Amino acid sequence: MEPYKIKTLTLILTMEQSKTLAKLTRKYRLSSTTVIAYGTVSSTFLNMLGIKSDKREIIKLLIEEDFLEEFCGAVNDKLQLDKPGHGIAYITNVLACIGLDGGKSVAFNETKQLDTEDSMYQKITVIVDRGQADRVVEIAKEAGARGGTILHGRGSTGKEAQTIFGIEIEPEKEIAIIIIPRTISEKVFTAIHQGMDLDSPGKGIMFVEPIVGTRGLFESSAANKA
Amino acid sequence: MEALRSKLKEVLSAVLPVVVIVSILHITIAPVGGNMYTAFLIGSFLVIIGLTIFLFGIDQSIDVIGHNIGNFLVQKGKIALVIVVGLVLGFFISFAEPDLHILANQVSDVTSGQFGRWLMVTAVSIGIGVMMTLGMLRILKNVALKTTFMLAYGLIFILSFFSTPDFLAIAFDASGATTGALTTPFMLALASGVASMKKDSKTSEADSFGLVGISSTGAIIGVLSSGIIMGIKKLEGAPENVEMVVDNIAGVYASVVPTVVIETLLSLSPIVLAYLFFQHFYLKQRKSVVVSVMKGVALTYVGLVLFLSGVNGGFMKVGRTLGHILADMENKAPVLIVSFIMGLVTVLAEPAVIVLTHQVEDITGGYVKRPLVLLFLSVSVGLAILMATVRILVPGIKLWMYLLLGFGAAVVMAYFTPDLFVGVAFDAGGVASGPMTATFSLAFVQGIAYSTPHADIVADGFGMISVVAMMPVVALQLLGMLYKIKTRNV
Repeated sequence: MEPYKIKTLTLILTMEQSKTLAKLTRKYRLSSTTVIAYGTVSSTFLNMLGIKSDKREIIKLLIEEDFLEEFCGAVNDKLQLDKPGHGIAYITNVLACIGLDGGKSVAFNETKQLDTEDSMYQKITVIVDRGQADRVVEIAKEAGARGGTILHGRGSTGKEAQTIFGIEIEPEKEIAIIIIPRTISEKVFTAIHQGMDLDSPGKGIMFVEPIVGTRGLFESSAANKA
Repeated sequence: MEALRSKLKEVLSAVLPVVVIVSILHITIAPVGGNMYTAFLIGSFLVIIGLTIFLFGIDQSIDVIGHNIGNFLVQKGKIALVIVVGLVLGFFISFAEPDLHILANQVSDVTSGQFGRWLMVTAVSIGIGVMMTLGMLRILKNVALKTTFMLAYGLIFILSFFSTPDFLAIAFDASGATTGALTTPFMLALASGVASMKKDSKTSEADSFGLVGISSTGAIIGVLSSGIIMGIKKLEGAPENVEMVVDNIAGVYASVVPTVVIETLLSLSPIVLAYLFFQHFYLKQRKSVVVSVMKGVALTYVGLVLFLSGVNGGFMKVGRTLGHILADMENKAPVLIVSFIMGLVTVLAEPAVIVLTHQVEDITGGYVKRPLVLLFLSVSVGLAILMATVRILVPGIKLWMYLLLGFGAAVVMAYFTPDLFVGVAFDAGGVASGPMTATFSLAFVQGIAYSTPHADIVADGFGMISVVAMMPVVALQLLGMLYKIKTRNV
């Protein structure tokens, strides 16, 4: 069977652009996770007044490789990302993932060709319901990770959304980001997979991306003190 | 310029509905006079520009100051420090609020000086200081918000037995008057600063709200208890009569602007002084941060001066005249319909409403949608103004009936609503009764009372703000229940 290939698409957009994107993701029935953030303001006049940051949204989607080009084309049409000031999008490889719609998953051994020797570390991202990311980081630590970073956002599933007076409600999510040496990433991945019961639908999504360089990371086991 | 464009767009969508409604009324059934309409248009322009600048300023000053002080208080972890800072800050923020002094002067008039201006201002400020402190301690000590509100409103209920209904109206109005355009953003930021230090993200989110609501009960408790101590029984006299004609547009603004310039400076000063104090002795932030905050303070100041000048110069008289003309009509339908629409649109232009709705969206990561909060706020305030008008036209309906039913329902609902929405709802009550309501909507309702023969101007003049403060509490808890039902099986 042809291995199931998937990539992540991340967009950084203004609030208005983000709304336009939401219409697109709904049309294509894609799940997405959104985090509110702040971006810089480039106008010198506003900077002089002390106005330096403006609200942005970071939207992360997992997309099948075959479909990626078509979707990116549609996004570019609507958001005109090729013009300056209209937002940013980037794509990364996925080494493994679990918890996608329809229970699809990708295992580490299916993506060996993506995992090159120069990536000493990998980034695990786990998206769970609000209040559960602490538990994810606990499990990761027990399996050998040093710790994790938690973001707060909202998720929208590709399915029919709940609405109040026509306005869609997206449930709150937490996003745990854990950077770990590639040697133990599979172990941590499996531990979180089982600990958080990610096989059951609606429990959460996890994916692993390669990283080609790090600073500020230390060996996680106490025996290997530098 | 993208940032400026989107902010301006947001402000326009908040202010233009009011302008459109007044313009339609002016052209059709209720012409207010050419000069007054021109003054209103100038006022609208000032409000739009002022609000835009103000919102930029709040983001980088009051918001940052409140959050930093809140964070610092928790990091130190000394209960005594929280108590001292809470009492002092709460007292002075309230003491410096111009709206409170205006209300206190009116109350002094109708009680023939028996309940004097300084007594009232002090009583309210002590109340706010005490309740704001308790509100912060509640977050640290994990006392449920619904319990706190039940106790506070229970106490108000008991105190109200020893007060006259008129005085009750004044007490509730005082709570609306103290939660102005500056105090609310500050208290919201303070609460989120204290709550953000909590480990559990879910309670931290819910605890970010509720402080404004708790603090405003302090004003009610303060006024009621001092009224009981003073033994105030009867209210008489009439509030001053506002000049109804606009002869000279420049003259109107010339008389309004100097007061606004001074009063805004006064109300901003406790927050800025507190920041400078904490910055110098404890926070010790980088110079660039301080410069950015001070630029923000300057923007906040300029924005608020423009906004208040516009509202006081252009909106107040139009509001009163409209109420007057509509209530004079034989058919009561227009005045009732316009009351509802008036509430619907004015609340959108309240500065603190814009701040609160953004904060709700930010803190919940976009889970609680801004348009939904605005929709519920808007309809509830529309109903509130409608109820206030009905009370004037129908002598049998008393204010205490509204308040008992409304706040009674609100306290009971808190037990069936997610904690997050309980806090947001009680805060929204304080937020909805801002400068727009205190000038424009109040003037409109007073105009109606003025044209209604059997209306008691004293009793009906007061109390309108309390209904505006009450309805959003019920409405947003309703929204919370809807959220609970809709997200139960996802």
